[in-house]
Amino acid sequence: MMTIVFSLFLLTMLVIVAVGILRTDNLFTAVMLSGIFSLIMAANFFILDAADVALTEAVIGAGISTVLFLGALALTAEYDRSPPVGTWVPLLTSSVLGGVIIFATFQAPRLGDPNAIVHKHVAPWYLEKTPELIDVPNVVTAVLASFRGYDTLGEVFVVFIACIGVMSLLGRVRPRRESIEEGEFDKRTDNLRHHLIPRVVGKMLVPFIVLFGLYVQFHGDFGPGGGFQAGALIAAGIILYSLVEGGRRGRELVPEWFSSMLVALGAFTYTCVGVVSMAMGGRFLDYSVLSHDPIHGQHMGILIIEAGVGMTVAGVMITIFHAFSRRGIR
Amino acid sequence: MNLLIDIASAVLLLTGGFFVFVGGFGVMRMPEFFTRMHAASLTDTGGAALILLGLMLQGGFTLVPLKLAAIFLFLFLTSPTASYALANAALLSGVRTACRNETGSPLPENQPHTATSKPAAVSSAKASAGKTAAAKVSRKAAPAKPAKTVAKKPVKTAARKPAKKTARKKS
Amino acid sequence: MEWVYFGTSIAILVTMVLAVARGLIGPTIFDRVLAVNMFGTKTVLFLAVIAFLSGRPDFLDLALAYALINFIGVFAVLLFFQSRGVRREAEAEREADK
Repeated sequence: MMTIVFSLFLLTMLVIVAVGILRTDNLFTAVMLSGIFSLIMAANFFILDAADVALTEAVIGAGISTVLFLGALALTAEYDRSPPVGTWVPLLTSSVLGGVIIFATFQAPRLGDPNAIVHKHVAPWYLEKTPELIDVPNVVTAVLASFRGYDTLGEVFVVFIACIGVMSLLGRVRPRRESIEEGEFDKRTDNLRHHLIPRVVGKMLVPFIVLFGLYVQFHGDFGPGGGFQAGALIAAGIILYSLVEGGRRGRELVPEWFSSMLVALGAFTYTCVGVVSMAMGGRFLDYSVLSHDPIHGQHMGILIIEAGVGMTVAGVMITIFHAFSRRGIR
Repeated sequence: MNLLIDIASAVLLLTGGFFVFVGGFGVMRMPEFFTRMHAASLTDTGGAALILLGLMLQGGFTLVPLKLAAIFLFLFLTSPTASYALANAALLSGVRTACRNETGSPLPENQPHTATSKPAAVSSAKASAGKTAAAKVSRKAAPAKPAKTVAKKPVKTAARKPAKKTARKKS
Repeated sequence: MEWVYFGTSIAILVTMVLAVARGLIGPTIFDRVLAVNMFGTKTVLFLAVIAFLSGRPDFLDLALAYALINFIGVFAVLLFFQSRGVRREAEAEREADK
């Protein structure tokens, strides 16, 4: 009953916020409302007991995405300049499709029904075999990193390709600002240095955020966590430092060559684990052969690939942030 | 003993919930931006303290109360800073409070103006001259000061020194 | 004790609804940023209470993570408005020079 009440509140708010995002023409409002949207989704995931996904959604959707959207808004316009288009055909299409999907959900099994098809074939096998084969308390990490490690390799490469895409679009070109001297301009547009309180509190919190990111990385076997969340948290700490102190000092702290190298190194580490396990006699990404004991080998494999995932995600977020902030002011 | 802890925890949780609700109610009902921000930020920190304290009493002697204490510490640090940063951003963009002081005239630094740069210089000259009067009239003038540029700092410290000297003479 | 958790979480949820309402109505942009910040703090409290309600206190890591991340958005907003003021001054100078 309690889940129903919570879901009622949260899902109603979700629909209202979504309609609000569509109907506004001030893009800044849309960015703020999409931050609220991500938070409602994170609370939803939490109520459904999916803690790993909730953590990822909260950190990336409500934390880092807001910063990146605001960086994009600073480079472009603030108002939506879409030309007026006829609204009846899209409205009709989406209403019909939405109606069909809603009708289909009436045929779906109830939440948590043990006779549902998703709970029949692979899921009970994973839940039974994890203590025996991998011996890790968090089954989500076991499935993500070991049983479905190949899919996670694909995800890491997708993130890597996204970074390459952003870098090829925005690049490392210094924009030309002939009239305004760069140092003077940067002093007031790049950083928060002469606001004393945000500067002190921000700089004080950066080590805690990075430390917590490392905790989430290595604790992913035992609780909610893992590489994606940890990479996003560490990147959020570095982005906070760059916001407070300016892009130039942020790039002195974590140089661009280092964050670009992290992006590639993470994906490379992941693939290397697969190749090394092939070299040691097993199949690609079969961690059992990595050590003297299969369970120990699984633990080592999961540790190394989660580190790879964390490195790639952190590098990608930092690189994309610097690509936006280096672009400067038009 | 357990019952006592339960009762204390329930009282703290429900009071915290009430504070949080009052904050939301204030945000909806207050007339303009700075008053809404006052409602939101005060009750955020206060309600969070009560709720987290109530949960800490329930946690037992494990790691859980330490995590709750860490959550409270970070909320305590970051929530007022976020309010400060937001008030600063609003003042930089020219949002001014429509509140009046006791005699009904607008507050001295809060004359509405259109551009943001030049009137800020004029009002900062007024601020350093009439510092004590402005400090008595409203605390809302305080966020305006750090928004001034770096060059104004020597003026502010010079204005502060006579006030300190008079205070020492009194004591 | 469960009912106390439930009552507190209902109070927090109602406040979240009020914050969203302010975020949708709020005439200036800053009202909406205030709504987001308030919503973020309420989410942290909601996650903490629900972690206890569902009997799994080891889910408090999420609340801790979000308490750390919440204010980065507001700092980005401050930087955005600060640089917007400078940008507008620069454009005004350029227009005046022409």
